Amino acid sequence: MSDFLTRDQALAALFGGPVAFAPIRHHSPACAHALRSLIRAHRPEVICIEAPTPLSPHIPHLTEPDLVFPVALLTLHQGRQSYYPLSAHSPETIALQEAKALGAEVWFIDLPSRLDEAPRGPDETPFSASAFVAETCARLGLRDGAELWDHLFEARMGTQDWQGFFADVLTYCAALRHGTDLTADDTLPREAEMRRHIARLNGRRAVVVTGGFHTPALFQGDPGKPPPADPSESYLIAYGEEALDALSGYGAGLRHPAWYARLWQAAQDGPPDWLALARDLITDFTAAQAAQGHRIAVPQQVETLTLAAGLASLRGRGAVLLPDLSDALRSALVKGETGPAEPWTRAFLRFLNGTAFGRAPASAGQPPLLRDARARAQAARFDLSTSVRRPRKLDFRRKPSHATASQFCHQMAILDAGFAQLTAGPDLVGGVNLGLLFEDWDCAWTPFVEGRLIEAARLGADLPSAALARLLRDAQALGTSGQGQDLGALVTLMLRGWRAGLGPRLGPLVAEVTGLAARSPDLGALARTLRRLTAVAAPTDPLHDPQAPDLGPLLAVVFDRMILLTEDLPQSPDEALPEAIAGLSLLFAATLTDPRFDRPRLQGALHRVAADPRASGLLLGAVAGLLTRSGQMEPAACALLLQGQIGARTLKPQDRAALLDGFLRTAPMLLWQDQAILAACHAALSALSDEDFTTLLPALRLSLSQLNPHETDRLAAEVTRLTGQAAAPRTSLTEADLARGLALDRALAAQLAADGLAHWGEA
Amino acid sequence: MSDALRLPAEVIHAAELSALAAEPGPRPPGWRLTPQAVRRFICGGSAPKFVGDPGLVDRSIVSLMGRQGLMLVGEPGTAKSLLSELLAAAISGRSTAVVQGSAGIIEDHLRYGWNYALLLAQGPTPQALVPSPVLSAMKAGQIVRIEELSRCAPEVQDVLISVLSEKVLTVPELGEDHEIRARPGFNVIATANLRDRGVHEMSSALKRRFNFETVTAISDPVAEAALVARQLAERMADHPGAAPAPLDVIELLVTVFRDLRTGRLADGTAVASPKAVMSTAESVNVAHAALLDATYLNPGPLGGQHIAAQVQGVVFKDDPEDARKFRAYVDVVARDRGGRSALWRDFHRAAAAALAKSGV
Repeated sequence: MSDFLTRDQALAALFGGPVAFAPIRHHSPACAHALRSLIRAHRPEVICIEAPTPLSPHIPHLTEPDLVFPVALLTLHQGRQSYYPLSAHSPETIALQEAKALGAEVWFIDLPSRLDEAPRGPDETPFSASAFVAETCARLGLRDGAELWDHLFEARMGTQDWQGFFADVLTYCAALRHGTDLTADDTLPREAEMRRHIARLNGRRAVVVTGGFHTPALFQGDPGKPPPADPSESYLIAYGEEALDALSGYGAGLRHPAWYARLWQAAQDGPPDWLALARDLITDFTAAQAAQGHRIAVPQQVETLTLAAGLASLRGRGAVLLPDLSDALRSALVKGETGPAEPWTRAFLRFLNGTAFGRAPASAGQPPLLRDARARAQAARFDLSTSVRRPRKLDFRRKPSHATASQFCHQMAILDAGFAQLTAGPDLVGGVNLGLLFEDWDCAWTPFVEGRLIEAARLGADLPSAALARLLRDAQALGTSGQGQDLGALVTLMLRGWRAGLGPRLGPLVAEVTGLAARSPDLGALARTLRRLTAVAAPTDPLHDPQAPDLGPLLAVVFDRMILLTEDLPQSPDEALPEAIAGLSLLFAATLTDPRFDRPRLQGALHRVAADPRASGLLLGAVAGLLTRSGQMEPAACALLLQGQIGARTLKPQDRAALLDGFLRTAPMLLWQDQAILAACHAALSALSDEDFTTLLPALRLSLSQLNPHETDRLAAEVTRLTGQAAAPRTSLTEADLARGLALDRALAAQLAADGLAHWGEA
Repeated sequence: MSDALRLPAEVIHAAELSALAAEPGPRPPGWRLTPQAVRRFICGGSAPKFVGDPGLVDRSIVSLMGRQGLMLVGEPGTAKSLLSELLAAAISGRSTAVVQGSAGIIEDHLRYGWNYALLLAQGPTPQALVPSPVLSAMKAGQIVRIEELSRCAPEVQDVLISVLSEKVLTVPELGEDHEIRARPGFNVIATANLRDRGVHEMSSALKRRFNFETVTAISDPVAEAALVARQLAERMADHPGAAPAPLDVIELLVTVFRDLRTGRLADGTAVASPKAVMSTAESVNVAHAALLDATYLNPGPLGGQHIAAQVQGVVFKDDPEDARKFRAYVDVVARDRGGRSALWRDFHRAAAAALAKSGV
């Protein structure tokens, strides 16, 4: 069991010498309150706080008058981050403020957080997980460690007996410590380091503020050796209540910070009026719910308060605590069957998570990038005082201020800042919905946004420079990761910059894309690039940026390269053809609508392909389709070509169908637009013998499967019109039934022929 | 040993209740125990009488201290009635003021009826009036329990509205102003099943007068196994010849029920969950039947094969789809576990054989 069985022993260990120990739980307002009394009574020369020593330079900034809690000390080390959060009611905050009032020194006495390890949190796990806690909860009828802590300690908020309070915290934490494996993490070296600092006090009056879990180890024992120099860098940043609760990066802390912030406010002059606190909370919660359209009637509010008081008294405490309130709310509001994740309780706890967002003092110094991003966010009228995720609709085409806000969001996205998420709007990068007028964003300025920006600070002093540097770095990374020839990836980077308003500075990327396009062997990739670029290149294009470099030369390079590759198509391997033909279709569509492209050049190239004896059936069909569409080939000639190929008995079956296949890839619409072509195909297919047809069927079916359902219907209608038959009624016959029927039909015809009765079948 | 099959809670636990009643401390008017003692009676000690969320018990006790009635809802077999009986026994010392809800219930069962012989002889007099359990509980300042409230017709349910809000019942036959006012300590605990077929929707006026509590299946497997073992031992008290059920067999049973109830194994693998009610109460029924089987019909130590034979009866009640889901469970989960444990192997073999016999 605990080393401190009696109150007197605990009191002697804590307060018996010039060094007074304050065992605390991080963010606990009751501990903060008692600590304030302790410091005022003890009047120390030095206050030691369990915080990493390398963070010491920030100490003066933490008591600046323009600082708004919560804030955090952010440590960066090789791309990893660790946060040391402080709220208005953290005992550490009170220690800093009291030290300033007394003129005492403040020492941070902990080892640097180990960024190479899992996030540190040894102070918290035992508060919920130990067998001691489970057994105590069972005895007292409490649900978990959080309630137990509140029941034992937060309920004593504002007590005058701070000695007794800390003695009890010590006893409690010593019992927790008893059942914990101390060697599992860096607890022991950290405590040695803390002892080293305490030894340096040399009899000066001091108060040592550490997690109660560590306090028993600080009374005596060997001091550690000074740790090696710490290479990490750190910043004082704004922090959010939401993160204070949710963040696992720094495990220590109580949940639902807004509740404890209220508690702290209510207890400034002694123990709080618990019922008044509960009443105000329920009233505020009711108002918040009403704003969302969920009404809580007055009788239900009264019932909630009555039940909460009743539950608190049943559980043997004068204080109405969080579990009492959430239980009462559940009993009073839920009218029906419900599971453990009941919506009212969830909404209530979410409400208590809080949304307040702090502010770092001006003197703390921020990396220029963060300052710039904050200024731009404020100029674009984003709310930086709360970390709630909010939607924002931007009319970026018509309103210049919205265009700036949109570019800001895109720049933040390039930096992976986690600030804004595009939920709807034109997708320039993917080439989708380019005509949309609005962008919908979900934005939230959280501590992690600041963390990411600080991390990105070395990329540039302002947001556009940093975003551009990031794009260029990513472009370089493509080369080193073996994607150097990936035209699509490079164009994506360029277009992201374009959308983020970095156009005027994208010269280097445009040059790189141009160089790569001039060498690209991939007709498909070039065609997709062409299509994506046509959305931005000309002043009439939907997302053109007049400040950006002229993309005309780049488009010309892509077009030239595609013409060249088109003429090489007859020598391409068969497996590359489908993709190349798709590219050719895109190129053809572009020349139809866009006067920037030289259509006769493409037609010339297509003619040369058509005349090339090495061109395969597939390619020939595709080219014939395109030529017919552009009026360069007579439909009759095309029809003849199709008919000839399908009927050519000397060819292999797949080759006989290939021309039709290629034709369908580029010009399916001609089948219903031009009678001659459809009639020729029909004639060719009707002329096939049953055996030929069956052999050709798989290849034909594959080709026709390219048509979409609408086109299939259209073609079917034309075919029925051509053959003069009524459309077949829908039946429930399956393909297998049909195949069996055909087989039977053939067997019967054969039998009749064998019996010399073939003329029966003809009737 | 009593010759009744089952005695009310206040009789079974009479000694404990009188000890608790002697404890000092403030108590709400009309209550025999302090609220803390009520809680300790229900879920305290090494063998809690109600196993489940202690927060639920707290909320129920506090609700009953106020003016709202208490409505216990939830899946069948989650010990709603047990909880209501324990609450009534602890608070009022009497759990027998109870109305069994059904489609046949009429208003008189909730208000009052008449002794017709006296009525004819004397006319309407207080002596001729036959109080309902509700009325007698109002007079005595006790808890009245209404089981399966949602099975009563809505117009009958609505009798409770005025009882709960005014705490008064008028008897116009005895005179214009004759009314019976409830004494302190009166309240209503209703249980209801909101999901079964053949239940009536409650009016919102009635719902407003109740605090609802959902009783859920026991979340802790160890506690559930302990509860099943204890209840089984209580039921087998009349069969001194039976050997006690081994705990590992009970654990197997509880595991099967939990897996099928939640549709999820302990390691998170999903299994198809049958529609049948796989409650703790049902698992006690299965264990009881299996142990009787092992004692009298197929003598031998209770094993997986006895459980397998009885589980069928629970799972196959009406839906053939359920049987297929159970077969999938037997073929995949039980077979796999059978590779590591003899108990599961017996269960798997017997279940597979029984399934084959019933043609699933």
